Amino acid sequence: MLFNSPEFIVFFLLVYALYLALPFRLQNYMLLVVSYVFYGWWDCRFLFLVALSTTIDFWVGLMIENGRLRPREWILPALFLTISAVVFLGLDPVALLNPLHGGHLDLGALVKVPLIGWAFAGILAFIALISLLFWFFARMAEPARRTCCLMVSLVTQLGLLGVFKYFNFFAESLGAALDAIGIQSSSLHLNIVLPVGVSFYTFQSLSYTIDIYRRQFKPTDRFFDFALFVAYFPQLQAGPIERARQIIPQLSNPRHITLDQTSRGLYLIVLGFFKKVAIADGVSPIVDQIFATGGHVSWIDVVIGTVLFAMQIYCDFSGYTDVARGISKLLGINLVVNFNQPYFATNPQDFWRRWHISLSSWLRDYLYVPLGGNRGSLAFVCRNLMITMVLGGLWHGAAWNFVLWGFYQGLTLCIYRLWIEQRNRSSPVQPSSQSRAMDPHRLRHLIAMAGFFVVICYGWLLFRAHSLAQIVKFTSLLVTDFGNFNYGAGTPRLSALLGMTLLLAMEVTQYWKADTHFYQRFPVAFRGLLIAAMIVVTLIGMSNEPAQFIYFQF
Amino acid sequence: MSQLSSFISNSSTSSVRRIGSALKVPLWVCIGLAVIDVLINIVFAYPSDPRVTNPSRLRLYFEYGRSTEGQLSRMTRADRTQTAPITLSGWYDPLEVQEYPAKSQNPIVTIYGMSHAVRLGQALGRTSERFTPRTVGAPGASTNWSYGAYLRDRGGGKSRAVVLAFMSQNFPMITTLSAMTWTFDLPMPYTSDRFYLDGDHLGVIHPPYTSFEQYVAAFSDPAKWSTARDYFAKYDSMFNNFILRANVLDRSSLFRLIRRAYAQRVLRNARNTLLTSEGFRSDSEQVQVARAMIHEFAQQARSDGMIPVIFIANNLGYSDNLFKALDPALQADHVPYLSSHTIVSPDDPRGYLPDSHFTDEVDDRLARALVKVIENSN
Repeated sequence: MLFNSPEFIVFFLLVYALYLALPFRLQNYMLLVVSYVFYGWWDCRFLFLVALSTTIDFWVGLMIENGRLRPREWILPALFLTISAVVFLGLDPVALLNPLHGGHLDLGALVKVPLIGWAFAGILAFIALISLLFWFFARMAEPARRTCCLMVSLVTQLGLLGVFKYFNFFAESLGAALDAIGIQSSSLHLNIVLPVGVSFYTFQSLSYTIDIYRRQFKPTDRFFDFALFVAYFPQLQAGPIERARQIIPQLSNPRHITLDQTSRGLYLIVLGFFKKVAIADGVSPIVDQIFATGGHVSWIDVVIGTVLFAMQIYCDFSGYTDVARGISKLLGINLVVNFNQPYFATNPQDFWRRWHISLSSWLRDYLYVPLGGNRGSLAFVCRNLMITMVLGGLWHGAAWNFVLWGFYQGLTLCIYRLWIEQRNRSSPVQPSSQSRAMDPHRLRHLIAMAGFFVVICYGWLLFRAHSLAQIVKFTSLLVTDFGNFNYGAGTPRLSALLGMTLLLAMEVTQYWKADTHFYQRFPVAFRGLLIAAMIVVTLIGMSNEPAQFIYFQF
Repeated sequence: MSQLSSFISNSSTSSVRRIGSALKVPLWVCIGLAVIDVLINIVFAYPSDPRVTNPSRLRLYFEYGRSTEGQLSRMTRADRTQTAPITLSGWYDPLEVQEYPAKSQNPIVTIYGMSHAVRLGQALGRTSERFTPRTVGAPGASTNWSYGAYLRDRGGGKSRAVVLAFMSQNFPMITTLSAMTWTFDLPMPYTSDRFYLDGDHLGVIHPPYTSFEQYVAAFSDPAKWSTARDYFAKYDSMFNNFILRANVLDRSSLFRLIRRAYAQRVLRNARNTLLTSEGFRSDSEQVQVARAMIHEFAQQARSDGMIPVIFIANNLGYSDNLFKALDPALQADHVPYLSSHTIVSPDDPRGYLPDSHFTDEVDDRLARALVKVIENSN
C-alpha cells in the first residue's frame, strides 16, 4: 500500500481510530495485524517471508541469551509460522475478496489444496529441523552456542536477501563471465519477484540478534512485540531501519500520546507528502525522459536530468521517512531521524552522517567496525571503507551500476580520508562549535558545499543510469559536450517549481539557524500559513499523475 | 480542600490553554487555505467569454478540475458565434473536412483521425507533389470516432487511399461515446460511435446526439440531459459521475485540484488496466475491437477501390506497444501501415512538441513515408 494513495488514507484513519479506542496490549495486536494487512496489500505471499524472518530471529535472540526456549517461547512462534505458511502460501486472497466485488466465494479457488499440503508439511519439517538444531546448540559451551545461533540468523536473513534479491544478478553475471571466456552456459535466470522492503526488515531483524550477541540488548520474550518490531507498518517497506533498543522498549510499554507529539507528527506528514507529491513526482517525468531516451542527449540534458534526480531521490526518500515518522508520532512511537539536510554536506563523511542515517549507521556498526574500522593503517581503513560502501551500494539493488555507485562513494571517502590525514599532519584543525551565522569562513563553506554537491550529483548519475553503456555515454558527454545548452526535455511541473523554491527557503533557514524545529519558533499565524502553502502545493502536485516511492525497489 | 480545588482549577485551565494554543495552528492553516483558495479564484479567474481560447497557462491549470458539466456550461452558448470554438469541433453532423488545393488531378488521400492525423495531412500537402491530402478530424479523436467518420464519409472523397489513425495515448478510449467523458482537463462535447464485437463483426451504438445544435438542445434541457447522461453511463466505458456532474465544489480552486487528482487516477487506472509491462493486453475489449475495426476498414476500403492504410501514432513514453498490439490484424489482412516508431523513437523527446504532437520535421518524414507506403501498395 502506498502512503500517497486514497486506500492508505482510509486505512490509517480506521487504524488510528481503533488505536485510540483500544487498551495498550490490544493496540499492539491490532498494529501487528494491520501491519500485515498493509504489507499484504501488495502481495500477501511474501508475508510468509516476514513471518519466517520474525520467528527465526525471535528464537535466535532467546537462544543466544538463555541457551533454551521455554515451551511458550517455542509453541507460539511455531504455531504462528505454521499458520502463516498455510494462510499466506495456501490461500488465494483474490478469491477471498470476490464477494466484496459482487462475486461469490469460490472455495475451490480460495484454497489451493496441494500448496497447503506442501506448505504445511514443509513448515513442520523446517520447525523440526530448527528445533533439533537448537537442541544441539543448547548442549554447547556458551561462546560456541552464541556464535552458532547468530550464524542461524545471519544465514536466514542474508539467505533471504541472497535468493530474492541477488540470485538473478549473480547468476547472470556468472553466465556473462563464462560466455566471455568461451564457455557456453545455460540461462540460470529464475522468475523471482523482489519482495518489497526485504532489505529493510532483514537488516532491522539482524541488528536485533547481533545486538543480543554483543550483549548490548536483552531479548524480548514477548513474541508479538517482536513481530510488531519487524513488521511495524510505517517503516516496514522503506525504513528507517530501526534498532531494537530504540523501538522494542516503546512497544513493550504503554504509549502516552501528547498534543505536542501529535502536532509534530501532523507537520511531518504534511512535509513528507509535500516533498514526495509536489517535488519528487513533479520532477520525475523529466528525469525519466532524459534517462530513458534513446535519442540525442546534450550536456545540459545530462546536467539538468542529474540535478533533478538528486532532488527527486532526496524528496522521495526523505518524504517517505517524514510520513513514516509522522504517522508513528501520532501513534506515540518515535522513529529515528533518517535525513539531516544531506545536500548541505561539505565532504563525503559529512554526507553519510546526513543521508539515510539509519542505513549508514547500520553499515558502520555491523560491517565497518567489525572489519576493523579506523583502527589501523590508512590502507587498512581505506580497504574497510571500500568494502563497506561497495556492499552498501549492492544493498540498494542487484545491478552493476549500484556496485559502481558504492565504489564511487567508497573512493570519495578514501580520498577525503587521505586529504584529512595530510591536512592534520601539516596543521591540525580544531572543530568549531559556532553557529553558521557566526562562522567566519562562510564563503569557503559555501564553495565547499557547492563543490561537493557536484560530487554527489555525479554519484546520482551512476545510481540512476539504467546501464553501464549509459554511464559511459553520459560521462563522456559531461566532458566532451561541455557547455552545450541545447536542452531537449521539458520543464518540471508547477508543483515541483513552487515546491523546490519553498523547500529551499525552509532548508536554508533550518541550516542557517542550526535548528531542526525552526518552524516552531515562527509566529503561529506564519506557521499556519507555511503549512497551508505546503498543502496547496501538494494539492497542485496531487492533481498530476502520482509515482511509486523509489526506495520500495530496494 | 481549597488548595485541591485551586490545583484542579489551575490544571484544567492550563489544559484548556494548551489545547487552545495547539488549535491555533490548525486554525491558521484553515484560514491560510481559505485565503489561498479565494486568491487563486481571483487572480487566476478564468475568462467568462467562451470565445477566449488562450487564457494564461495558470488560469487554465486552476480550471482543469472543474466538473465536466461546469466547464461545458461555461463554454457552451446556443449561438455559434458566441460559443467556445472547441464546442463546434468534431461533430459527425456535419463532418469537419479539410480540403487542400488539388495538385493537377493528383489522387486524393483522405486521413481520418485526431490532430496528429490532421498534421500528417498538412505535412503531406507540404512534401508531396504526388498526392492531394484531405483530412477528416476531431481534436483528440479516438479511433472509434475516426472509423465512424470514415463510415459516414465513405465514397464522398473519391480517394485513392484512406488512412485511419490510431494513437497510443487515447487508445483506451476506443470504447467511449464522447470525448467529454475522458478529456477531463478541457472537455470536448462532440460524440462518437461506440463499436463492440458482435460475433465476428463489429456492432455499433450510435451516440444520443451528433450535431452541435442537438447537443445544445440536450444540454440546456435538464430532462433531455438527464436522459443523455444515463445513455452515456450505460454505454461509455469512461463515464464517471463524480467527474461529470457539476456541484458546489466547482467554486473552490482547491477542491478543483482534488477533483483533478481523482480524474487523473481514474484515467491512470483505465490505462493501467489495458497497458501492462507486456504491452496492450490482447484479450482486452479495446484491442479486440481495434483489430476487428482494422479488418472491416480494410475490407470496405478495398471493396470501394481504395487503398486502406493504418497510421499508428506512438506517443512519447509509450514505446511501440500499440503497433505490437495491432500488428496481428495488420498482418492477417495485409493492411499497409505506417507506425511512427519507425521514423522517431517513442522515447526521444526531441521528436515531440510539448503538446505531444510530432515536430514538423518528424511530420514531414512521416508524410514521405506515407507516400512510399501508398505507392508500394498500388
